[in-house]
Amino acid sequence: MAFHFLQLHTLTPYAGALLNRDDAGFAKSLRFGGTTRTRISSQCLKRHWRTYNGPGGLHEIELPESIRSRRTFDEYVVKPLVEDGLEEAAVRAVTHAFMAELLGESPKAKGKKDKKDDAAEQAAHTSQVTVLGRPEVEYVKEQVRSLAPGLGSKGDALEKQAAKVVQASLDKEAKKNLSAMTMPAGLSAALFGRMVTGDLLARTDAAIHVAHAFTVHEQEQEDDYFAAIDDLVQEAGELGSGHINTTELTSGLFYGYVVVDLPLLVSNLTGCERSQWHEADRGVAADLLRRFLHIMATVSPGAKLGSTAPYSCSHLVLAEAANQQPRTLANAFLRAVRAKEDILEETYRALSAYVVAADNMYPWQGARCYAGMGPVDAIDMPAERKGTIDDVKAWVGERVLES
Amino acid sequence: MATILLLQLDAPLMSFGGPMVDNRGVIQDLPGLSMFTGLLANALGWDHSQAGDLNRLQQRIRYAVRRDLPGSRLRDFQTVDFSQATDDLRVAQLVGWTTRGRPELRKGANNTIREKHIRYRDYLADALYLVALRLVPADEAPTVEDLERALVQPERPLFLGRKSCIPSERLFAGRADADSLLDCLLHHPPLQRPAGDQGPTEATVWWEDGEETGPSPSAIEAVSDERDWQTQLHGGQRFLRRSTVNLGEVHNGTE
Repeated sequence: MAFHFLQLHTLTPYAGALLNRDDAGFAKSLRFGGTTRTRISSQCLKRHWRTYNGPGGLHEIELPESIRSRRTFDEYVVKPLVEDGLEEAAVRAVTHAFMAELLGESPKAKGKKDKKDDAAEQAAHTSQVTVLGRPEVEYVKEQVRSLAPGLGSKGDALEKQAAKVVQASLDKEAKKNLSAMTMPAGLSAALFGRMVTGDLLARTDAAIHVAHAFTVHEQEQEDDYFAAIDDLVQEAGELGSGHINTTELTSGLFYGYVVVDLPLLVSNLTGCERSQWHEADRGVAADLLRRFLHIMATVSPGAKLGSTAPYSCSHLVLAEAANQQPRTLANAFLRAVRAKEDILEETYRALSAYVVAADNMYPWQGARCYAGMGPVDAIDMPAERKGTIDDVKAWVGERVLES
Repeated sequence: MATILLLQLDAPLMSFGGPMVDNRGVIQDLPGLSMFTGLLANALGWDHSQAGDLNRLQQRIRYAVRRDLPGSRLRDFQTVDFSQATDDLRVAQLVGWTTRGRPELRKGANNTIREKHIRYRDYLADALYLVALRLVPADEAPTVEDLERALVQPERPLFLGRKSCIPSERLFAGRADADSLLDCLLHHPPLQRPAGDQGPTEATVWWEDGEETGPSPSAIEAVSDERDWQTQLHGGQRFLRRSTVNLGEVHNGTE
């Protein structure tokens, strides 16, 4: 069964770090269940995940032929216009002329590049990939719709006429507009969205929702008093330090939560209509989400890299696929978890008990799996237990691809 | 037929947006009319271009609110880094493309465009609300039945004010029949939280002035929470009444 929503939950520990701070330099916090928790803001998490370009990053994805080639335009621009009664040859010619302008392959644009280089080689060398979603495809379709009926030529003359008509319709501002459409954003824009303009119809909405992460227990913080010593001053025989200050250090087990809107992600990647996401190519979406889960579980959102080395991995990764209204499991930690012996074990118990209670009240109709470290036997909930994060990633990929 | 929809607003962070002040995203004490319009439209799967449908739905919504837990305000510090890895001002200025055929540009001098911008966004933490909502007329599509189905299995993820504010519990809390929205709220038992903490026993209630009679004494509040979905601007003026009720005296259920 194809599910609309993917929900990813993580429990990630960080010790002695200052991951995300406010304008006063203190760790961001959150009042929850009557106690204060340490927090990592949604935008902080998103930024680090979006800009990660290490191994396993989104930039490594090879776009398949269907997205890289003209098939998107044939399927979502040419076909619907022909179905609306427009003449096919004219529509095709104008679409291709428009696309050449958009992707920088028009004779004018080509002339600017080195004449020796093959256009295909150029494309292979660019690290930025052009991904066009529904708003972009709709816009191109409407431009083609207005330009195509005016053409009367046949054969090669038609191609030339189409190129001329498209060029004539684009003034300097309009060309700038098109180049803004293909501005380096690539795959991460399909997931994280594009910069918002005042035009709602041009908007690429983010396909993920990222909750602010917070500790399952009360804030554990320490003021680290430090002095910065000026070695030159010392060598000169003088006393004193160059600078004295305190900085905050916090430790915590953070609960993270992300919702993925699958139909929107597929639409952003392929340009298909949201309601047609089943028929579209979901391979890239599956690859993207497998990688994203790995990034979410292993990439630090942390600051103060040099002084705290805030690098960690999630101890628990729980993935859910469902059509029901997505909901965070935060209330499992409404009563702040107290570490009697093992805080991870207590947290696992609290989470399991909550999931069981929630399933009891609102019958669960989705699929669920998890992989965990440490006292995993304390996890007792209706979900498939997996061995490694790769198993959970594979499971996520399968959920995206199944119909 | 039960014509009142009950909604439970429970999330670690919620944002009931109010008029923005400079770089501050201010919030209000109660959820606005435009928030419910957007939330229900999101559940139904409507998109930005359906301004007519959105305006009509907003016209039909009537609601009353009971705040079981006031929570606390949180001011989130945010920085936006506009600096590009380029010295090209034309690229630095570009925000994005528009369907009007010209790109949207960032206003400002060369040096300010590339700076880090600071902004603040307020949130409501640890709060709990119950809302009774009705549509007038009741038999026009979408009906309250359509809304119930959409809330339980929404087309898109539902959020309370900002995209990061995903609810902890199911928003849909039942359907009811009562003479008035306030009556419905006053008969619904206090919302329980899993931790079982005994919250304050006094709850604040808001209802639309003139539509119903509520507990007295009550204060009057003016809000401008109607959005024109074509222009995306908020305006208008609605008058609400605000009072308090003792949760301990609230009746149990309406069976």
